[in-house]
Amino acid sequence: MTPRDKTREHKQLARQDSRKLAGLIAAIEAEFDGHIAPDLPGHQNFRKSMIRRALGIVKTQLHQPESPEAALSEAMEVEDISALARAVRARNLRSDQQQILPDRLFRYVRAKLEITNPGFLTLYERDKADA
Amino acid sequence: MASRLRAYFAETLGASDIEIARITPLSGGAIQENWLLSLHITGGVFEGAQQWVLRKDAPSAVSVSHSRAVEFAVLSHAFGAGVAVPEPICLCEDTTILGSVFFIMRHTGGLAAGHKLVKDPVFKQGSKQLGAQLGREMAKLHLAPSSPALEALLAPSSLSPQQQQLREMRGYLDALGTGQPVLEYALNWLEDRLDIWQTDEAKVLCHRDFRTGNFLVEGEEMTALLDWEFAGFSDRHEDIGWLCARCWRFGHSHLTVGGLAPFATFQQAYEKAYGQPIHLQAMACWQVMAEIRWAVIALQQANRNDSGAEYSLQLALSGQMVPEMEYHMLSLIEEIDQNKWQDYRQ
Repeated sequence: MTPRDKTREHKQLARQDSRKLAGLIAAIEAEFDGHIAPDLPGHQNFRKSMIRRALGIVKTQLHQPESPEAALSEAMEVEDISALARAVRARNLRSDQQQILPDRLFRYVRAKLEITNPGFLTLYERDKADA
Repeated sequence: MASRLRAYFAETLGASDIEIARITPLSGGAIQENWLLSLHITGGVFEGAQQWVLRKDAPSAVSVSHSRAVEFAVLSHAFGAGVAVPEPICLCEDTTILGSVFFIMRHTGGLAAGHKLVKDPVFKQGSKQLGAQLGREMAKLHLAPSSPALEALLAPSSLSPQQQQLREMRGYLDALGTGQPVLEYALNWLEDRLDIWQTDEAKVLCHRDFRTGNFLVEGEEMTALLDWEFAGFSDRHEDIGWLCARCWRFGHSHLTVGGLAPFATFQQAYEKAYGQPIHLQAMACWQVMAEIRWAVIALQQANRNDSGAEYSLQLALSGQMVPEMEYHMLSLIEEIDQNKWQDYRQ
């Protein structure tokens, strides 16, 4: 088996695991929304919204083909995100890396927002336009 | 809790009898716990019905916040300077009473929750009255004379506030040990702009957490500035940048002053009371630092959960808010670099 085959196999297994986890999360969500949340008193609304938000983040994350961290590391040609953070601090990025850094960071943050708060960018841009 | 408190109050406040009718937890505060005490006191200087707030450490205290004893001293100093704060009553450093140091202050009416305040129709287009009052109160704080005792407690750094913050934030990031390239990029950007960020003004007493959510509002009036746990000597523009940070507008991005008021009325009132203009470029840089600092605090809170020190969904979700701060800091940097920053016009 070549390294490429191994990588392909690994990704396939990871996808299968993700599908199982996604199914489990969806089941937890259905159980919570259908049987637990309706019976919770009003003063637990904040907790309810936190649980829904957390489940939503995990669900979205599981459907991402590639993590924002991995995509940024690949685009910046560094080993991982910690290596990039160290290089930025030390100011020893190559000039070509330095040039693309702001744009790549914006893309990275947008990708993270798609997971953590998908409505954020729409609201932000709308408010900016209103102003 | 009630019986130990009763004995403590009787001894400390010289009351002959104390009835504690109710002890209710107050919402908010992942870092500190606040409890509302409804009391009836017989004898002593506080005789009669009293509504007090007891403030003590929550299990998830973060490393950047002061002890309750220091916070009480700063609160007392601000009260003495005439800033709108809850009246401080007493500090208890005897940990046998409640298990940790706590202090008592008089309860003040009003609403602090930013997400609720922005829904009030009175703040839809922003309140000029509140904006002006916030400007006057902040100026009052920045004009408060210092004292050797306060300086000994808060130990101002020999570094400029800007360099101090750069050093502190990098230190916190190192301690967290997670790669944060956006924050590192923003810190470098600020370091490269010290010429516009530093104002060479003397340091003044700053609240350092003066934002929507940390002051009480009744109608269009601010009734009290709360939560003095981060106070310190700094550049006055740090408080202005923090109050006007985009992360503290609760969805009301079009209103620069905490999502509640337009900047112009705040600026006019502040400058009149303080007697000096606001340096807008310095304020813009402090807005970038505000996003960095809040992101670091959120990462520290999430780390409390992730490390197993205290499992809490609220703490874990704080870490999920970091991309929002990162988006704000990158947007601000881009706007400032391209001369498109206009927060002072909103």
